[in-house]
Amino acid sequence: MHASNAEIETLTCKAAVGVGLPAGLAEDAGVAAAWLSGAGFAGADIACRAIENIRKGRARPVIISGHTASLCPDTKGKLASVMYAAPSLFDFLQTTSRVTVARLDEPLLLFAHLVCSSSVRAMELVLHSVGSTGKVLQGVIQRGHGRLEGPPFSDQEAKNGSEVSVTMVGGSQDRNFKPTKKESETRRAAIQRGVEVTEAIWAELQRLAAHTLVPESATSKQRGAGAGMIDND
Amino acid sequence: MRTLVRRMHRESWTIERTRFNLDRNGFGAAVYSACGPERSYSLVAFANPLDNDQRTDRVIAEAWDASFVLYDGVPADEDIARLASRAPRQEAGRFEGSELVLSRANRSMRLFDYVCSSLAAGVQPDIARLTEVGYLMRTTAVYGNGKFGVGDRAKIAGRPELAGPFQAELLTVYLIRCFTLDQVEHVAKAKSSGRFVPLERSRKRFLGIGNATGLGMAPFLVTHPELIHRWVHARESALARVRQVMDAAPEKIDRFQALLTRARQHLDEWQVEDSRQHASILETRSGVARIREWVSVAASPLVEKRPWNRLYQMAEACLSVETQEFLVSLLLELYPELVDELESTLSSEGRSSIDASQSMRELQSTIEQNYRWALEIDFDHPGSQQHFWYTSVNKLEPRFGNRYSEAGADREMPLAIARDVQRLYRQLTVTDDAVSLAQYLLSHPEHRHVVRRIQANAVHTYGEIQDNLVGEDCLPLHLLRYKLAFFGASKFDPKSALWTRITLFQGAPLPDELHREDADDWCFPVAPTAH
Repeated sequence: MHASNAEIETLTCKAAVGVGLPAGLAEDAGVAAAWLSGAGFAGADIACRAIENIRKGRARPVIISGHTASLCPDTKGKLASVMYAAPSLFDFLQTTSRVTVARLDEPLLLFAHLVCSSSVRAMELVLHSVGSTGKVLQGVIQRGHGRLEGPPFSDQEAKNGSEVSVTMVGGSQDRNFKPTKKESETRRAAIQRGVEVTEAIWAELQRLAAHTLVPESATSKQRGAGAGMIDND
Repeated sequence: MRTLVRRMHRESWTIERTRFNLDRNGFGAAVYSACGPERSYSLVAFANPLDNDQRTDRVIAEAWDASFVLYDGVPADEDIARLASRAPRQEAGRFEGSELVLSRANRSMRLFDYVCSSLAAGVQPDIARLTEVGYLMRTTAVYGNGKFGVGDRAKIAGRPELAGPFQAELLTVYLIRCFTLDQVEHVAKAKSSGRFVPLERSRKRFLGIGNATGLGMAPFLVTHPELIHRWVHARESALARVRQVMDAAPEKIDRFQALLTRARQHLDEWQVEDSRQHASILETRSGVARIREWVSVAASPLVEKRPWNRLYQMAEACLSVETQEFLVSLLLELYPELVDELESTLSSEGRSSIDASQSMRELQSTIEQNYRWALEIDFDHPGSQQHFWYTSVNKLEPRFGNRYSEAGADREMPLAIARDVQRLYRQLTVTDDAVSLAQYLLSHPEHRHVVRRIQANAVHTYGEIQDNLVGEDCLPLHLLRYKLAFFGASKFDPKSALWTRITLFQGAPLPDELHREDADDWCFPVAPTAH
């Protein structure tokens, strides 16, 4: 099915709140998911997986692991939830040049978060992620643009988590970073026509988002909106 | 609205009815194409029968008298066929990126049939009846920015004609007005026995489009602080420019006097049932009368240096807030050469991020400086959290509940900014200064949204609604009016503390009048003289 970028952002945000994520983190997750979708990735699927990881207890909030620039899950044997880790990682990058995350569940969503945040703070970053099978994913992020090197990770890496480091590039090595023609066309198509999402993922996000809705009651229906039921005037 | 009409005038837009397949009851499809210098946009309208027990302004409605889509370009037959099955379903339909806005409207049962039968009988409708309502149809929602699959804001943000906030939505409403005027004449003609007369032009121009607005606008105001800041900043800048004018030229004084006369008639014709608003209108009428007295005597402030500043100060000292705002609107009308350019500053596409390099002490200090009003609220007092905002499972209708007597407060929207700021502040006062903001937010992600807001609003000084939005005294109606006022809405007509009706485009030039030199002179619309 077709969805707009705004819908991906809003529905991801609501679904994240629906599983108990604080509003500020959920907003960030929505923005990152929409960016991923617009870049041609399955943003809604990835966001949905990350939300489900939280709901099912597979992924947990992160804590500092000894060193101030190392994040890890707050529970041993669990994954680090990207929805908690990504905003914090970017926070730490504003005062330190390198941050790592252990056992991160969805590195692509982190990548997207960094791209979106780097546009606001004008930062240049390199993301290096090693999956549980040894696959390497590398991304360059510069002032609101991002480029990945290497194929997206498989479900296996997502299941077992990845070891991720993000480094701030001091003097830029690539100041003229520009999206390729293909990247630009993908982005433009997403803006012009929206993006494709599977109905199953859409339904799942809606189901999760429904936890933010208040069930109907007679009082709510009659008084909650401050208007009558019929307007034949 | 004014920005849109000015542009259509400046760029010589044309509006063409390219399809009008309505039956004798006015049911069917119509297409109106608005053509600017570079692009066209088309309103695709569908009118259907509606039982009286289905007609409601609420979001929970399932059917409407008419449904609309603003199409990006000129739709092909297959587009119209696709939209015919989707637009009438509104939120339950799915739309494409080629659609920019989705809307619906219901007939005014007080006016539509009356105007129709008058025209069918060969007589013009009574102006008093037109004044009482002011529109033939009332929109009950106007959705844009990607809702239900329509095109994203990013798609149109770079187009000069739609770059301003809500320009696509307002273009839709303007074209809906065209449709309603054509539809009522069409039905009248079909039902007449040869005596039909078209609606006289000045009456036609006096009919705008109604709008019923509920709580959905309030969360928007809270979640778009930068945008709101820009709107208010533009308004304040405009006022400041006028107040700095050193001398009032005679033609400006004449114009002011003429506008005062028109404004007084507008106020006289503004009738509402709501007692609070009625009292406010009476007060404004009397305030405008006082302004007229001030500027009619030899010692008028208008002969002084910085005359408008002096007049504004006098109003500020002795007239009601509503009268002061009314005066501001009048003053801004006098100097389009000073203020109109500010319309280009109204948009915001930006998004803020947290500055984690800020120290905890600096954050605390920012709160003390900008949120003193929030820190002074006693949130231990139950009344200070009497209400909560929520989204109902019933068609996602936004609602306002009582925290102590209704279920659902655990799912409230994050609109209690004052309370959240205060909670953060209290925690900051017991947090070690050595902790960095990044460390703090890692441990307390529940404060992330409010930290972002506090930091952003340190720059966007008008971005915050400085009130307790969950308090027992909170009147959401004020929030709705605030936003609608920036659209240029008139005839604010509250139906409860949570709900209002307004009129849009009343007095605006008709499509074939857009070229006229006075196309921008329709503020404070007044009833035409009977003839």
